[in-house]
Amino acid sequence: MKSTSRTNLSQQVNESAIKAGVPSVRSDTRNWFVQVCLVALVVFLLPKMLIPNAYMQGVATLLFIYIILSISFQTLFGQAGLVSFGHSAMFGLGAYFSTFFVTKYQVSYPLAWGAALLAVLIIAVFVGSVILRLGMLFLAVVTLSLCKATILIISQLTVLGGDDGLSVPLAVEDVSDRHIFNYFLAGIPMCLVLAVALALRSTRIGREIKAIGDDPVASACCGIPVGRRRIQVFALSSGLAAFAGMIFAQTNAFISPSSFDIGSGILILAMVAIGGLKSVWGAVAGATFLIILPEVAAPLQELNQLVYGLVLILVFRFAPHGIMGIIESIRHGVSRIEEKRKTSTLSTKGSKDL
Amino acid sequence: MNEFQFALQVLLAGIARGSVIGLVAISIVVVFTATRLLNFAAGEFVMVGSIAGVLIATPGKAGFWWIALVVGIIMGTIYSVSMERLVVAPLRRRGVEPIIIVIALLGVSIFTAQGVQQLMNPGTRAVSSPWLGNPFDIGGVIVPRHTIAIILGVGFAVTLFMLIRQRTSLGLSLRAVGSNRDGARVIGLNVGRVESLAFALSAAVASLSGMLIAPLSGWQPTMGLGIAITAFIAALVGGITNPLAAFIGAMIIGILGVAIEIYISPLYSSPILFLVLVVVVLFRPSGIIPSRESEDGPLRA
Repeated sequence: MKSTSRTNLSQQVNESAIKAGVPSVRSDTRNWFVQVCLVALVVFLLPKMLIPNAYMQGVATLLFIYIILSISFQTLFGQAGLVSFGHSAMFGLGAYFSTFFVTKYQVSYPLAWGAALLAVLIIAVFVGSVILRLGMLFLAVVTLSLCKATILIISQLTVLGGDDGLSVPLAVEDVSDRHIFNYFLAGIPMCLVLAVALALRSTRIGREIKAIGDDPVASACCGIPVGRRRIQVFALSSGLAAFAGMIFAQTNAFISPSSFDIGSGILILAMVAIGGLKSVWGAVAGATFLIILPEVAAPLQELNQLVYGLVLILVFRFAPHGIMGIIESIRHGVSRIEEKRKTSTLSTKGSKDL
Repeated sequence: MNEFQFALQVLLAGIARGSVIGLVAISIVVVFTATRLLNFAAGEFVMVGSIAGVLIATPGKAGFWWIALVVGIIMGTIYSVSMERLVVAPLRRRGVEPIIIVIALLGVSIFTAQGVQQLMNPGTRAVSSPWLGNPFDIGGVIVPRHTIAIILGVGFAVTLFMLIRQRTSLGLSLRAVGSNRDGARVIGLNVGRVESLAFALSAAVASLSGMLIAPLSGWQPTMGLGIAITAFIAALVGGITNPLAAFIGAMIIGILGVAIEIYISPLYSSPILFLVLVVVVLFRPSGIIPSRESEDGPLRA
């Protein structure tokens, strides 16, 4: 017997999925722990092996923060199918709330972070329960104006530094190498968030969320509490974005409304789109691509926003499933070539189990 | 100046702003009517349509405004139609979900705004118009000439637009294609061409709006997104299926916005308008203004 019936079934499912244009539904979700450990290993080794200089460590720190952001957005848009342009506002709220609690009320950092997270979660649940029942197009406009309104309010409040921004008191003053410290301050949570996102896929709730993204009506018919899950995903996603914001406030030591404007929302969207909407690893790939790109292609640095807009157009036009989709098609193409080769060598035996 | 006169002045400012936003709202409605898409690049139609103003109607050459208007409309039309052919139509043919096309349009908007900014350097530019002279004084209320120009110009444009929409075959085919794309194709309408025409008409209206705004608030490459958001709020509040409803919605938003900014604080205008949007969208998704053509199918969850 060449293969078990279980592998055959998943192969058939993968084939029909590829034909339908969806990246494969491979069931390797059980390997997430191993994958995260590998990533953590890379994160630990990178500073010593590849990037010993402070500048690249700074880039990597930013990359880790954006990976958290794009994973959070992928969960919302790619899995649950909810478009929200307000993501950068949640990012900003996390940064501002945590800084505000420390500067205004002199609380300790862990408490400030906890309180900021709670504040954002409450806001997300409140806002989400109101607007998430709208159709996609309405939701897009509403979240876009929400983002703009939030940023405008923040920039007008002088207590938050207004347009000029706010410097962030550091949580840990006495540190030998600030860059390495920031690097791990972002890197360790990134691994945790990645683990959560990957593990979520194999849980019932995670699958329900994905089902809602694929077909809300069918999901409701299966008994999935669509409205409640949507609010939960929105809250989780906003919480992760706020978490990224708090880390950003610490590593950047300075926050201003311009870092959280629609531009960064577009960046997050572009990252998830180019990586592949439907996969967590796509979010990672997209973030890596768009952060590394300006480093590799130096002239592109000033044209950042331009490139992100262009990425959005080109990805949906030519490669709607992004980088992960391309990888899947290559994989699938390779395995089909192998199958054909095997069939031709085995045809003399007339095997029936292919 | 007494309270009443001041209020009238605020009202006038609100009407002026509402009119200009109203044109952009109508431009959004045109595209929505024909394609059932939200054109997130609407703000860029305004911006591109008024580049001519920056280049031609420079301070001191007020009379050139009219030339700039014509050139601007042509530029805006070329931009919108090329964008439709290059981005929207291919995605339509693929059959992707509307939200993806809307996101792609947002990408176009960012790309255009940033591209123009690179080409022309950031910063506000001045545009002159024939009406930046001394304001009139009507019964104690100061009426800027430009405000009168806006009201008259917008009134003319809206009338012309409604005539086109209701009385010509172009208008009819726009509505037909939007309401039933395949059916329109079956009866022989060139759906692709009609959709391009929708974008062209949308850009023409938006360009006029741009040429009217620019002398007042200056022109920046990045002016598009803010205008677009306000216009979207206006169109959704008024009723996105009906241009007159959207226009009235824009008036409401304009007057409300100016009133809040002056009487309360500029801080509150964005959040309050956002709240208005949410309330309307939740309780009357087809818009405040009752309208026969109320199909909000694609907008509902």
